[in-house]
Amino acid sequence: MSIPVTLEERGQLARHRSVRAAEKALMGGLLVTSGWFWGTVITTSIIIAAIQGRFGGLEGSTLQYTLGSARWYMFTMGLILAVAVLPLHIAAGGTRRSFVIGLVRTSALVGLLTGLLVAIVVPAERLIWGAIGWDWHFPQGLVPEGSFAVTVAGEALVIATYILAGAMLPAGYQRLGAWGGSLWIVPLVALVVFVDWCMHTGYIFGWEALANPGPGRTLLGLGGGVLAVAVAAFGVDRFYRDMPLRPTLG
Amino acid sequence: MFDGPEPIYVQIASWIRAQVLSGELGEEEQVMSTTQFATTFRINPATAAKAFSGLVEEGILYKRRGLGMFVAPGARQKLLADHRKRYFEEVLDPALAQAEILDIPVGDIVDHVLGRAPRSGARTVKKEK
Amino acid sequence: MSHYPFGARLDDVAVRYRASWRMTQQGTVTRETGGIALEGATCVFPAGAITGLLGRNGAGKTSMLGLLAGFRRPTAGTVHVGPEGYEQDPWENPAIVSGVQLVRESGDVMNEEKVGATLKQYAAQRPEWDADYAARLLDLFEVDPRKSPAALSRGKRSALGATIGLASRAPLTIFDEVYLGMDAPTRYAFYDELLKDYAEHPRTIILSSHLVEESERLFEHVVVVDRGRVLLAEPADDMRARGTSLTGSAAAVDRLAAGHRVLHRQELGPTVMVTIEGSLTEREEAEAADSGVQAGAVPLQDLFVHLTRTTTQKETER
Repeated sequence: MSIPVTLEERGQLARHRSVRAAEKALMGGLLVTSGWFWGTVITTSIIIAAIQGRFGGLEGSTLQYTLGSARWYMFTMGLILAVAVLPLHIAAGGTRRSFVIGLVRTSALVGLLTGLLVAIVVPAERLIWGAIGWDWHFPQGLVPEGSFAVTVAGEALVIATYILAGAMLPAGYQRLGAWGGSLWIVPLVALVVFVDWCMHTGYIFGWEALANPGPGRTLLGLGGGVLAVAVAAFGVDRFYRDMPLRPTLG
Repeated sequence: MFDGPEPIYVQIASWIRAQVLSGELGEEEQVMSTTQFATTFRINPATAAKAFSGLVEEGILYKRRGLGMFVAPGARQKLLADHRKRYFEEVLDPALAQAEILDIPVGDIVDHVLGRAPRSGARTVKKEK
Repeated sequence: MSHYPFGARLDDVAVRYRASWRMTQQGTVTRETGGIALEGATCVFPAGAITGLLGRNGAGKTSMLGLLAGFRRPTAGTVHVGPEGYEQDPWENPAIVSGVQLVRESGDVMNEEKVGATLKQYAAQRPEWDADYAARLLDLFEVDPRKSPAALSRGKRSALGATIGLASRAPLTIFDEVYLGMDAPTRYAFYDELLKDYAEHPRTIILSSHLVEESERLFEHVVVVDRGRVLLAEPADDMRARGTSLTGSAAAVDRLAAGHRVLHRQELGPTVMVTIEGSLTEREEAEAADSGVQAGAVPLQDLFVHLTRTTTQKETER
């Protein structure tokens, strides 16, 4: 076997293993975050429901309030993972490219898992509320009262955008300096607000009545979500693909 | 080990020569590998290899493919002849030159070598001991 | 996977840092000052050899090694790493960086998780990783794999770094001041393991150090950097031949040293010890023997100190 062939094989093997390793490392952190996410959502939902049952006041689904705020966990974890995983990934012989591919794929996967759970938990709440005899309505999402497929897809796009937007924050500090880095939060927040708005979910727009629902609105919303993920993934790629590792790391 | 002022590979070569001379390393006997040398004396294996290749050129060692380094037949004789010649050049000649400076008659030296009492009054090395 | 030692080459490389900010793992943002780390650096790290990269603190060693491992790109110049004759730019090059293990002083580990978790991360990416060997090394260095790196002493953290470098079996394995905090027995255990594993699994090794004395015998090749410049890059024996120490009476030594550049002069009562650049000619050697002047080799450590000190003095004189 001549050397260049071996180098090529070496490259192929390394590319493959490096992406898988990044996915595994990121997945570990994100699954822990998912634990917090659901722990918080379930606990706060039960507390709100208990208050509701005792004193009344709030009406309909409690998940409409709790799901949106828990998304910031994903944003924060995206931020932490980007700082914590990248140096080790590079030191172990990985490339920035494989890190970015791993990050985008993992974000999409965690988004899908979260979407699936949301699509299961929301109708479950409806059943429980019905059994207790409470009035249930869920004014969020692209389809009134939810649709399994659309909920999964919508939530997946939202969560992926939150994670990737979070991952872009530390790179901003390195690129743009202390002031620029802090100001850089503004477009990142704008991006996640945009995806929430597209999907008609999240705690900012969650309580609004759904205006003119229909297939056109659904497609437009999902298209907006895809655009948000694409923009976030492009941004992550641009920021990390030529990120140097400084001699000293904290 | 090998802490002298000469380059380490020179010192290693001298050490192996000394072992062959004293008979500690017999002819056709295997010499430590470069790896063993490196790990035993905490030196770079290439340094040991450099010493070996010098000894191969001198005809002291020879390489058996896949087995390692061995002491060449006749190596001891070669070293003996070489060291005998050098003994006169490197040990005896400077001593005699010194004796000349100190005005020690050749007869005294001969007597000293033969273990006899000195004929003249000049001090000899033996008396100092 | 058949594997070949990787060599490395720098051609007229400069690394200049811009002042910047960065977010640490603790979430704080710190300012990094800028400056020139390397300028006009040209040198070779031969494939299959153990090379000592010598330089004082802040000389540019770490920046140079970061280039070889694809941690950063040079500001100017080119970097090539790979099997002899097939060297490529390591930047974002999976075929190359998967074969370069740089163990940094800071230690690239998962601080809060068990040591075992960090090793798994390396094992997942390194084609030549040997997990059994890693376990044996942790045992040898007495590092508990169930502890987290944060709970380890400085010396044990360094030993963990040594373990990662050795067990990676990477065609180019680089240790950047890995011995810091290790006690003497551990350092010697590391040198012994390094030599043993190097002999059994031939590869290219670079050891950066400013404590030359105890590691100089390991080097086949040396690269000396000072203030961002490459002072020399050559076989260790050539560097040793760059200096000769002369000890004897002041008059005789000074007469012999007259035609040479004196690197260092030390008076020991009536006798002096002078380190000169280069070696004596045959005629000078005879003269030295006649006048009772002892000529000897200079340890790399002394030569290194002399070389870097004189350039420093020259810089300040300018």
